[in-house]
Amino acid sequence: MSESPELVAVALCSELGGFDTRAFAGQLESAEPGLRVEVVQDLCSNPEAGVQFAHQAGARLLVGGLCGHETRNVEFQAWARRAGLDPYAFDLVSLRPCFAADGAAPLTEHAVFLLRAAVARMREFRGSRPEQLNMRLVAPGKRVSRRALITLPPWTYDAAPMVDPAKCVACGLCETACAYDAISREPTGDRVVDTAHCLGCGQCLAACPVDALDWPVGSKVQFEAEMGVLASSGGRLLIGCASELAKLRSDSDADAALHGWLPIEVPCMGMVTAGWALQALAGGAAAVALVGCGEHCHFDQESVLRERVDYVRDVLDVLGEAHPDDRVLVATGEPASVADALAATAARDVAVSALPGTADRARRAICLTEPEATAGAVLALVDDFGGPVEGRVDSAASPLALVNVHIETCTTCGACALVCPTGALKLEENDDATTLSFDATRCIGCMRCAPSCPEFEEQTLTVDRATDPMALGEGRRELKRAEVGLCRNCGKPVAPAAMLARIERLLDDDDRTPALMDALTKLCIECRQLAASL
Amino acid sequence: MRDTVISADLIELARLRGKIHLLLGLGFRYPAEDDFEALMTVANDLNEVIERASDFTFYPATIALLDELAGIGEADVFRIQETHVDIFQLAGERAPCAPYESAQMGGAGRLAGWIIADIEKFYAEAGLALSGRAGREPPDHVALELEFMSALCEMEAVARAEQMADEVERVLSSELAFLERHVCRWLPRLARQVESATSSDGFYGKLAVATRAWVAHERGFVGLIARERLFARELAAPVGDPR
Repeated sequence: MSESPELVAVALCSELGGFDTRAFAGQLESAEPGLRVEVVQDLCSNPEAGVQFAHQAGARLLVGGLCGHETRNVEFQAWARRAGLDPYAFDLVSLRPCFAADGAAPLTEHAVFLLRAAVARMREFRGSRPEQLNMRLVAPGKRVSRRALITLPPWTYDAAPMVDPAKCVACGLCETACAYDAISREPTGDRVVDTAHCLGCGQCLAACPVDALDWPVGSKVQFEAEMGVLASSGGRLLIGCASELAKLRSDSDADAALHGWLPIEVPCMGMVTAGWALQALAGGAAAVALVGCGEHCHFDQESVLRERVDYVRDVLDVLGEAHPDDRVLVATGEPASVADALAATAARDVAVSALPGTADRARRAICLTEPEATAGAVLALVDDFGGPVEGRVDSAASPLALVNVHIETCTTCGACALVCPTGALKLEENDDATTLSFDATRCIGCMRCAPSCPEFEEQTLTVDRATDPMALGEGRRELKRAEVGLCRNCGKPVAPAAMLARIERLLDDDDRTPALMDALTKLCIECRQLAASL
Repeated sequence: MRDTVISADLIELARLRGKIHLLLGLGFRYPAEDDFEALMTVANDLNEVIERASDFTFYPATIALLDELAGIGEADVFRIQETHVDIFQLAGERAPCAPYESAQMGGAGRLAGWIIADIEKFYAEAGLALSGRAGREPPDHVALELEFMSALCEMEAVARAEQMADEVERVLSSELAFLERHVCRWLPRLARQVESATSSDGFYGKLAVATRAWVAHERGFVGLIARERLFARELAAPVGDPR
């Protein structure tokens, strides 16, 4: 028996222009089970009423449908804390992009999708922990007065990611990805995030191959749920950070261009990998626009985003898409430029509305953790386009990579498999042979394997940052199989024959007796010790 | 629209913070009759003022602890004493939940000695020394470290009330240093150990949860007011100066 969905309180602002809010509330309740919907008088200016409604309804989670763009997160958070709710147990959705334009009917269906997406996102909310929250003054810098000695100005809380030790595989990729040295390694080996140094760029989440980072404002599982609903609408998705989306909404031209786009607000575009755009398309979206960072942004993800979008276009091109540039784009610059880019894509709607396999795509679950995000989306799109596909995309922005092994010099020692954090490289040993295999759908190109190879200088193992749909379709394949050399004395396995041959070659010029060479390569450890003791 | 984001009185907050440190510190002490009475007294005091902290993230966990204490009768004290022995004292410093910083962070070597020496230096610089009530506990016992933080908070409240900006700055810097060098480095670990060693419904489970929430908040809070210079060193500025 399936569990009934968790109750979510949905408060709708009474000032939603053009909507019959009562009828809309009923439509929403019938579209999504487990909702308690209420029209709240002037919700945008009265967060307390919205939070009180959730509290009285006995709901742990609140979604607010706002008539305006001013999010009032700080006020909602303060009232949520006061009502005993989690400070991040609410999601505010601006329904302005669904308002009537030029007197036309409001996009009620879009509004329903936006609110259902927010509900899905909140249902995946697992709560914040005090250790993740960092206090911040709402208006710093206004403190120099006698009052500063006795009065704490208004404050709010920012949330930082936290590493879940149960999921963490200690690969250290998050630590490497963090540009602010906020992640460090404890003596126990656990990675910890210093909330005071974390600026919330989300790079660590993008880098983690096992989704071990939990972030109340942006856990991947929440975005997966949200994107799943929005992509299934078959509409156009707009992914942007809170700051840039707010800038667009405050500009009247850009605001008009947002009409009809379904926004996904992320803390920072640093966490949006190429796999996000591919997953959205594979999940049913007609197009995906990524909003670039403004000049003032200290995270400066602009060039990274462009590389990622170029990569996605190349992948779509290889798959056979006729309009890759219309499927995915970076909208950047001043609000007017962003508006132009969005309007141009919207105008070409007819050309881009027919990706093959639409009906199936809407049923696909979204995954935003690399490498599954890119690999899964590419494989799904290969099916949609009627695969198989020849050709590959070589790009520095590829979230996937291909490992090549020089068959002559690889000794199947397994050092590479030992350091591989995702299990893309795997060594299987039995009495007869050792087999090194590779699964292209698991490789994130972290480059841990190449320097770990003892034959590194001979370039025995190389990594290409590339996406090859055919290799992805093959699944796990054998890179090298080596017979095992057996002990001349007892017949037990000694080591892979290739490794023993390598040892012989290395010791060939050495001034050692043939007897020693013989003992090292032809006897197992026990028999070698026995021979030495005689 | 109502002003939904309120400000808070830093003098009241300093006193309230001091009481929370004291409450948690007493909670970790062995609940002998005198100490348990002191714990209940502090809990009653805190109940009067805790509502002022309802906007902070540590509030729900602290309320849960205070509610738990309110439900404890005289008959329950023996059970709590037994649990305390189980968790903290069965094997002394070799117990899984050693309530000593040196045992948690320094092992038995020279580092342990350095930790204790550093703590004693903090106490001495604040003009404080261990009283007879500390019993035989070394200065790095969790209860003593938290009681020291409580004393610093009281000093801060007095300095703020007297508008002694330099003194507020000095005390705040001691608070922050002690939190970062000692309390925050090991108390979350001890709290996690206690959480795993006991039931989450009982007194020690709730004490551990409240401690984790409190330490996380306190480090952020003291760091913030120190960083934002909320001790108004610039008192020379005229009242109402819009700078």
